[in-house]
Amino acid sequence: MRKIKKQKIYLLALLLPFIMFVIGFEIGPLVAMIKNSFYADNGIQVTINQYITIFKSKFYLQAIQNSLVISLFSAVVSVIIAVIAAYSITKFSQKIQNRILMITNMTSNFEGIPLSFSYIILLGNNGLFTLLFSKIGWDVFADFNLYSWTGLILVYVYFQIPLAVMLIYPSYQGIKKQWKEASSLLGGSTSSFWLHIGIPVLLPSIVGTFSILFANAMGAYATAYALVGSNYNLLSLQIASLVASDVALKPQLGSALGVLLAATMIGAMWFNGRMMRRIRRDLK
Amino acid sequence: MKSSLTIHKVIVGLLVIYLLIPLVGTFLFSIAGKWDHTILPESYTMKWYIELFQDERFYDAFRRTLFLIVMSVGLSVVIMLPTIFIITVYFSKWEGLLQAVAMLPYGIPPIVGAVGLIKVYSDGPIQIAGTPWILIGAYFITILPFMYQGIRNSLRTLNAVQLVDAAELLGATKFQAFRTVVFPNIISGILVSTLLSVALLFSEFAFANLLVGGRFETLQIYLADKLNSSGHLTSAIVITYYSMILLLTGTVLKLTFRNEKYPVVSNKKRILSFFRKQYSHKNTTLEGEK
Amino acid sequence: MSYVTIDQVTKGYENQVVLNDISLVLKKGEFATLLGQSGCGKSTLLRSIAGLEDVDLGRILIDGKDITNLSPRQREVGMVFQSYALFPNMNVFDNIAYGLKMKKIKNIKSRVKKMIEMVDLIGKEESYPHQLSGGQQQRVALARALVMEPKVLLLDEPLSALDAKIRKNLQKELKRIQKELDITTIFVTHDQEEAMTMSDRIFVMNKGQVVQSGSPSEIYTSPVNTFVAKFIGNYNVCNMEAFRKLVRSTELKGNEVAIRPEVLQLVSVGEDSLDLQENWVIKGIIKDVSMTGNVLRYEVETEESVFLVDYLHHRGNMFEQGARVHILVPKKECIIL
Repeated sequence: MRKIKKQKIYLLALLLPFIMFVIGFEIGPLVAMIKNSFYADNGIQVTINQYITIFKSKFYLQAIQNSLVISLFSAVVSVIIAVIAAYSITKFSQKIQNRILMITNMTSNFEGIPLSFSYIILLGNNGLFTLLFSKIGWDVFADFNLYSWTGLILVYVYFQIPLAVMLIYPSYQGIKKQWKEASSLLGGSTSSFWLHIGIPVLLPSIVGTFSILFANAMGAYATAYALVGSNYNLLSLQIASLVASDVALKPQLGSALGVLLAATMIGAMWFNGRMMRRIRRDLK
Repeated sequence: MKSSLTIHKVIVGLLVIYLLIPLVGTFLFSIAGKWDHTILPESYTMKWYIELFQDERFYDAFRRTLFLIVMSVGLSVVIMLPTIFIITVYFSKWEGLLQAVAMLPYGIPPIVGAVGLIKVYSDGPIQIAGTPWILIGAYFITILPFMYQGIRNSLRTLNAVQLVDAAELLGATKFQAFRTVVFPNIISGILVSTLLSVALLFSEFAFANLLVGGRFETLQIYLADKLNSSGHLTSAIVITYYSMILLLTGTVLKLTFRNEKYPVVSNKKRILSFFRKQYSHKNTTLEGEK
Repeated sequence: MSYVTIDQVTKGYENQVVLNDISLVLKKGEFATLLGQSGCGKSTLLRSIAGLEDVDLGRILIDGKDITNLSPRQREVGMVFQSYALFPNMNVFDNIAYGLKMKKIKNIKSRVKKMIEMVDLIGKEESYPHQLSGGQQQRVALARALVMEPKVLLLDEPLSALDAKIRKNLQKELKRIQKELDITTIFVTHDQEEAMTMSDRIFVMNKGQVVQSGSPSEIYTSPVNTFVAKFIGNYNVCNMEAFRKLVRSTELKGNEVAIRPEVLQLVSVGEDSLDLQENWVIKGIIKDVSMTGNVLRYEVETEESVFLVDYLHHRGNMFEQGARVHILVPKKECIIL
């Protein structure tokens, strides 16, 4: 007995580096952030003023709203496109399907700074297409400004789509051919099949994909940073400038915003779980 | 049937074009000489690449990024392998806790993580904010979910617990069992999550910018800094950088294609498939019994 | 003459007792089976003997040596797992040689070769586990355990993943090898038929306890309680009060009576050659007839309960559904529980 115990202690010692890293760089900083959000600017008094400041400030409420709207919007658009596109993909031969998936895979890695840059050289003020189109005489892009709300949406949708396709595509594989056959044998039409069987089966994965995309956009920083810098009021950009800019550091306020952002993301995940359980009782 | 396939062709065609245009455009721009009023460039040149590869700053940035990646991924393999092994085999009641801890970073975007890290390490006993060391720590946590999943799944598929039991009964020590029976069988699984982690860290910008910034210029910081200079040169950087990512993910693809029906290359996709497995656990076991 | 001794072993997880004060003794060379439904503790007991589980209380001895606190590698026991647990990165030869290498034993080659011959796998030395059939994998697992010349061989439902025919073959072969090497073997199964064909001795387990032990025929013909009666054969178990009513007798004591289906006889109503001296007689109606190859099984409904009656399948003893019959119950075959 004693021998076994001794061995376990020795094994536990091997876990120490992991525990140190987790405490030092995961749990510790999180706790520090939450704690810090309840301090005044001077870092001495304990207060909930930071949160009050946020909820009284039009500026920060605007940032939260902008982030929420752009995340919701880009997630909804991408999911819709992905549901349609993934269905179309399943209509091709396995070989072509794999090719297309490979392309989505490749492009899903194209995000952040390089992606923004690519859009800047194509559609920026002196962008390739901008100049090209104005010379050819198309004025579709005449009013278009990449460094704005629409530009941001365009880029966000771009990096969300490949991800959404890859997430939704496998669930089409879950719809078995026999189901369609059984449904038509029982007198169902194609549309009634999708209404009663197809969509309900896809729904968990659609909801799951949606919340992942939403969280993905909420936390996105690099893309926005490269594209609009601090010209546009987004939650992630505001947090960054409060904790790590050259001017006007307000780490406590930044912490409070960070807590709110984290809370939104946890909320999205929680919502995902709830919906999953509600929609698909058969899974639990 | 035929006419409906046309619709699908159009849809998929549009999707592919939409996805590829920025890449193709950037690529053309990086090899274009003069290009301002035609559909395709008027002349081509390699001078942007030559210029890039003569830039010391580029090499330095590349070297720094490589250093960070090797350190954090290396540390992660060395630490996570025994940790997950020990917990699955000997302390299985803690598996849930390990999973929660390992998956948590996925729910915390770097922007949030950075806030706490700056707070902890800018004063107090360990002042490493602004140095590469804080980045190594942050990156260790960033890749934690992927490394965890990769290693744990490999151990599960292998049925490692029982193999170790068998080896021990045949006279092996725990360490011998791990080295001769477990390790050789999970290498390829670990390789995949390692490469994915490398690709992920290659494109990491948020932590690098917020925690260290210009004081330790990584590839991404260098790129961001070059955004406002010559477009052609920056395109060359983007394409070079992206080729490296493709090389990495291409290798992963090949490795996974060998064992799986469809490749799981994106980190995020791995995460979703993880959640899905959690939810449909009962379903899958039923299917397995068929 | 005890070779393996389990002495008052108890084990529990949290608030559930898995092994409840188990004691048993095996002779050298004996083939013993732990038989029970899943969750009865049989596998846990086996794993405790192997050292893969700690026990809370009690001792385990092999060949006079207390091994309770030894690690698995020091116990000199061999084990074959249900899912074989072959090392996927090694071929057949290396799998079998693994233990010898770990213990740095000499002349590995000749010993492995001998073992490969014994389990009839010549020509497969270079194959990897995934290239082998389930039966072949099982042989490798067996050879891997036996090559170490363990004092005790532990088999954890080794045949349950195989299909019926291969299973029958391997049962015979396993028995042959076991006799040839005269190795003390503990076999775990939930299949009573398998237990009957293989074992010298059976330990029937239920809820973490050994409820009965004995030779296969002892267990089969005289179960000690309802659980064993129902689990081992398809015993007709009848409440004693109901049975007294059926046979109109008051001389019987006990709570329940158990009667094997194959000792019962059916006689058409009207035939008068009833031996009332040796038999009880119960009136009934044939409710259903089913056939499993060579056995005809009648379900006979009586006033109190349904009795199963088994007959060998030949023309002379066919009864139609709905036929009125008398069931003859031999008095000496009634087991009072």
